[in-house]
Amino acid sequence: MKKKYTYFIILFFFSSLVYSNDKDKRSEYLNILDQEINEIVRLSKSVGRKNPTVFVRMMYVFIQKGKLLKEQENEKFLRISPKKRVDLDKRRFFKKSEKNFRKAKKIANFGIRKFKNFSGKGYFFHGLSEVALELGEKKGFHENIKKVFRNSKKGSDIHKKSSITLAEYYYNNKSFSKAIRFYENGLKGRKDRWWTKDAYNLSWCYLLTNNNKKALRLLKQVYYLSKNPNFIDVSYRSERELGYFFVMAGKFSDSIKFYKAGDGKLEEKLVRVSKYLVRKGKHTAAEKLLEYGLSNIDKREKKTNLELQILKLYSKFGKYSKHLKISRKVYKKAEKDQLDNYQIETFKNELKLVVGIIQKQVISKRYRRNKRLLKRKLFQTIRYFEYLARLEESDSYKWNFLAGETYFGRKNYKKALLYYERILISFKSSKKNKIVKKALEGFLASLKKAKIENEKKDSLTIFGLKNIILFEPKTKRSNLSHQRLFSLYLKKKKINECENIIFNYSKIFRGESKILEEMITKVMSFYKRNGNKKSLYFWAQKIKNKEFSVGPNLVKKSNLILLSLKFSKVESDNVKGNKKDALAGYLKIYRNSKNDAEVRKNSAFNAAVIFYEGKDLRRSYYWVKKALNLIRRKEIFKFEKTIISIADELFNRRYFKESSDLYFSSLKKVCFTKSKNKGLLLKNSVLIYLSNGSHKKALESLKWGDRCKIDGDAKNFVRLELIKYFNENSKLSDLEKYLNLFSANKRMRPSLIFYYDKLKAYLFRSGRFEKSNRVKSKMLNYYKQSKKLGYKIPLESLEAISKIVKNNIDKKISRLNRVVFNFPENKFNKVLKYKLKKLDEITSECLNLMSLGSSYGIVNGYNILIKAYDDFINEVLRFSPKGRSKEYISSFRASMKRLIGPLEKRGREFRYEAREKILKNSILSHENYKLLLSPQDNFINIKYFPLKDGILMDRGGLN
Amino acid sequence: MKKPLLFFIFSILLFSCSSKKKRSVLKKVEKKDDYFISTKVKKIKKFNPYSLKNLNFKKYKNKRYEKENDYYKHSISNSNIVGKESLDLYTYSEKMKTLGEIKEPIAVAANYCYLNRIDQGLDVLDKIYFSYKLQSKYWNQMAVCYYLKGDYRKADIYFNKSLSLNKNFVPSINNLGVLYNKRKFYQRAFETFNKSSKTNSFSVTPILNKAQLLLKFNLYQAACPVFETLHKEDSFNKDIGHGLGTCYLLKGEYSKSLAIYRDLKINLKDDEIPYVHYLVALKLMGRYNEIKTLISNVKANFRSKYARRIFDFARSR
Repeated sequence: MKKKYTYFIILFFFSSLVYSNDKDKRSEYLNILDQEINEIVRLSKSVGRKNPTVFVRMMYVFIQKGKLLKEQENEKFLRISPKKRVDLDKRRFFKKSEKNFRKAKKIANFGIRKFKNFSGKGYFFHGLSEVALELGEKKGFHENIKKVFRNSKKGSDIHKKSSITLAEYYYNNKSFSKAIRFYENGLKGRKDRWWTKDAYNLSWCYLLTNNNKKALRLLKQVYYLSKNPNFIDVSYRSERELGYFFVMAGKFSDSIKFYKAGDGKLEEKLVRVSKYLVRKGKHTAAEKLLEYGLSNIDKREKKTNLELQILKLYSKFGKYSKHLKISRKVYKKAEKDQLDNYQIETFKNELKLVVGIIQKQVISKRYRRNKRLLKRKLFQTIRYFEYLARLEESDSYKWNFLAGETYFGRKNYKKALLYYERILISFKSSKKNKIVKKALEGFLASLKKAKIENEKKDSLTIFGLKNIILFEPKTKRSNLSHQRLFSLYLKKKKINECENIIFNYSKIFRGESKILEEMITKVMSFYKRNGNKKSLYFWAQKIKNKEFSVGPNLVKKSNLILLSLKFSKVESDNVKGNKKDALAGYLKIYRNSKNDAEVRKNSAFNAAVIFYEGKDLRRSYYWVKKALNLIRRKEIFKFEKTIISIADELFNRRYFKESSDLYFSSLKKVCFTKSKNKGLLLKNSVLIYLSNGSHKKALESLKWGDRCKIDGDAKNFVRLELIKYFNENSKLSDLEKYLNLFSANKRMRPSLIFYYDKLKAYLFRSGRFEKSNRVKSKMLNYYKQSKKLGYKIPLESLEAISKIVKNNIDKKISRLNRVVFNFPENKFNKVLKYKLKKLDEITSECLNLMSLGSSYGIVNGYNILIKAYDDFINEVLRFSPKGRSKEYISSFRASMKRLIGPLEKRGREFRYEAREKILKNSILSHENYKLLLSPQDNFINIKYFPLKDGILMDRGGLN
Repeated sequence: MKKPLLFFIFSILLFSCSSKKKRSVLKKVEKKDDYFISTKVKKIKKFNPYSLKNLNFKKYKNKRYEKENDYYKHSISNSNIVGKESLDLYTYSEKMKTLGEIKEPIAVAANYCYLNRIDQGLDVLDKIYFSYKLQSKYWNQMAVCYYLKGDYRKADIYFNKSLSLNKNFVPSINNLGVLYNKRKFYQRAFETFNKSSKTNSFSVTPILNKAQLLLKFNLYQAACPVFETLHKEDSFNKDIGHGLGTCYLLKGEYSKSLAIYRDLKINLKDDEIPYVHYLVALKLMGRYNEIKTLISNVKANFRSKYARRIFDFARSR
């Protein structure tokens, strides 16, 4: 009987597990159960209602059926969406199962009433408890279980089972002491499969009732038995909770031993246990356990999880110094790649958690009095930031930034700098990043305040400035940074860097030409000081090519530098005396500088000078002309002297055309300058042009003389030379033209009179009498004007005027001679008077003529006078009145003789005077013979003509 | 008929098209030289301005001018009072002889110029330029050469150049006087000769020039003493002799005049005036036979009217 019921109970429990998992099987079992019910009903009909086991059996079948139907109904109910389910009457869905449970209940109640002495009455109560359980009647369940316990035979299965059930009831209601009694009762005797499960609960009851040792003992037993396949395996849980039990029992080392033994996964177990303990709120126990564990695990790698777990505990309870110690160890492992990804993440999280807390503590004023603690915390904060930076390389800049900020917050600027620097170094891209920008600001702020040695400060400043430029290239700050950076590099003589800055600056700040110019100037000055010609040339060339927008002064200076560099080698040759090499150098430079007028000018000029020194005047001339074409007016003064020397040398060496051309070309160049050589150039060019017969070029030069406002003396000289030339070469029309042109200048007139005389003679010879007379009048006018103005009149001009005056006197004399003496006396006297008067006039005119000062005038003046007097005297003496008596005639002659006496004396005086004057002053006149030689002496009229018109002299002779 | 006509037309077209068009030959516009080339420069086909072949950096030592030794010292100069100072009065053969004797380059140049080999003379001067360029003597000679060439302007420039180096260089002062004389500025010439003779009282040429000028303008009273003095030193000098002879004629001292002219080696072709003066002296001395001898077989093609007149007088009875 017992066996049957046992069989049913087992079947009941087992089927509820099996069938609930399989719908089809459930239906099959329902069919079986229906068949069973029919069988039992048939059986009960046959045996009557006297057999309680039948009713027990039926009760259990209905309970079983009810459970299966409930499962089915539950499934159906759960298929409805939760929203709809809420409003539904749940009971409607469980009618069938409930019906079966009620039936079972009814049968159980019937059985209890009908079979009061039934030994298995407990089964009916058990059934009721099951129904109550299914129907959710907790109280009913409990009551019935109690009745089962009371009404079942001790030691029976049903008694044990109900004992366990009661124990569970009390366990769940946390009445552990009560639960212990029932568990102990239920677990007595033979251990069934469920023993481990129930004993596990019992061990907890012991623990919770502070019976730690008993609890520990029992749980150990549970653990070991769980290994047996005949028992429910609760080893996992028990193993986990043993740790707690050990701790509660104060047996840490035992716990380690325990966990060590077995499969050896001590760390894993300890971690698990510690987590469990933490969940249970036993943090201290967990900590202790872990610490024990850490000290007992030999191989370090295997401690990581423990360490991580303990870190959590430390962080939770603010044990930061311990946290740091462990973190160090874990970090070292992380460095060696001994942590897996999960561990690393865990560790990082831990670090982040703690660092967030302690950083705030550090920055706040909380620990300002406890400097030691503050220092420690600061250290830890920074250390953690460093760890995080290394563990999260992609975000390392953030951690470094925070480290930097922390130090900055604590006014440790020197150290803050390091971190900011680190960020900036690692973050080389100029991509916008807030943190990096902040780091830059932090860096700059720290740099300002940090006390570091100058050299280091400079290098950091450079670094900072570079970063400003990188991150905000076009701002005002960047502009200033460029300049500062430039100055720093220059101070350090890092010229390459300076140059890079210039390039960069010019690209970004195009309008800032002044600053750019200053920078370039400094760089060039540096190179100049250091004699780095190559670099200097490089920069000068760049400026020349307008690669930088700079002011005109710098352009000018750089052009000069270029020039001097180009010529430096050549000039050094020149200075050393390697003139041929220098010359070759200049010619080469000239050839290779087709677009550079300045270079060509200088090279051509220098070549000209060397050719001049090398006595190759032909080429010297060629090159100086080339240079002259390129020399600008305002700089001619630099070259003037040399050009004139070359021109002089050309003349000396008889290169007349070249010489005159060079003088003239130079004149044109210096024309509108303040050169003092204009007059000289004009004179020289004209003289040589005229000596070569190039009067047109000479005229052209004179025109330039007018344009250049050359002084009057030089121009007058040139004009006179031109007139002389025209006269010498019988260029009569030019002579006439230019005489008229030049005579507009009053100062020139005295000199021109002579040439007007020549013109007059030419005109007279060609029959142009009227014109000749006009010229004559002009000559006289000019003479009078010049005399009035006090100008010195040349001897030749005086000669010319003398001729005119003499001619006039001659005319007067011939008019006088036409008047003859005649009688009667009155007529004679009249004529005599007239003639004496005229003689007087002629005398004064002759004296006038002589006073002109020309040899011609003097000699002819005397000649005329003497002749006039002689003629008059002879005329008077020869005259004999006709028809008069001898006495009258002799008396007449005597009186005439008396009259002419003074005239004869005067005539003799004139003759003597003339002679004396001529001899004394060596007056050279063709009429001298009239006064110096008597006709008797020189009746043949001998004249002297020398064999040569002057004897040339080669040597000075004896001296 | 058609075919020949067509052929004819075709050939006209063909030949007219194929004839050479007068190519408008573009004259190569000669690039106007921006430099002139002096005649002294040897014209070469192509002037290479880059050539360094003609360079000569040799430094020449400037020859020092020795005033005390500034006279000719060859065989003829000793017998000629002016010969120490000038080659101007030398005969052709004398010049040739001198050329063989003298070595001094300026003298050589002078000789060439007086021999009318002006270019040669100038070349010699060009060659010695660097050694003598600071000497007035050099520039004086250059000027003399140009004077002899007839290029009086250049002569003037170079005489002045000579004087710019030494304002008391007597030959240049004298020669300027000669230039004035040539240009018929007699008073200036006289003053210049005067200056040069005063600068060096022992120079003969300026004195002679002065005397000639005085006599030319009939100041024989001043001129004749000079001629007399010079004649004493050199009685064979034709210029001096002629001057003195004329002096005597003007003074009426015909026998003296005759004596002078007789001793001179007069050549009708070159010395027509002395020749006619000689004839006049003979005539005034009544030496008609000698006149006859002298004028026989003479084609009287006188250059000057004066010579003609005097000749006619001399041969008339």
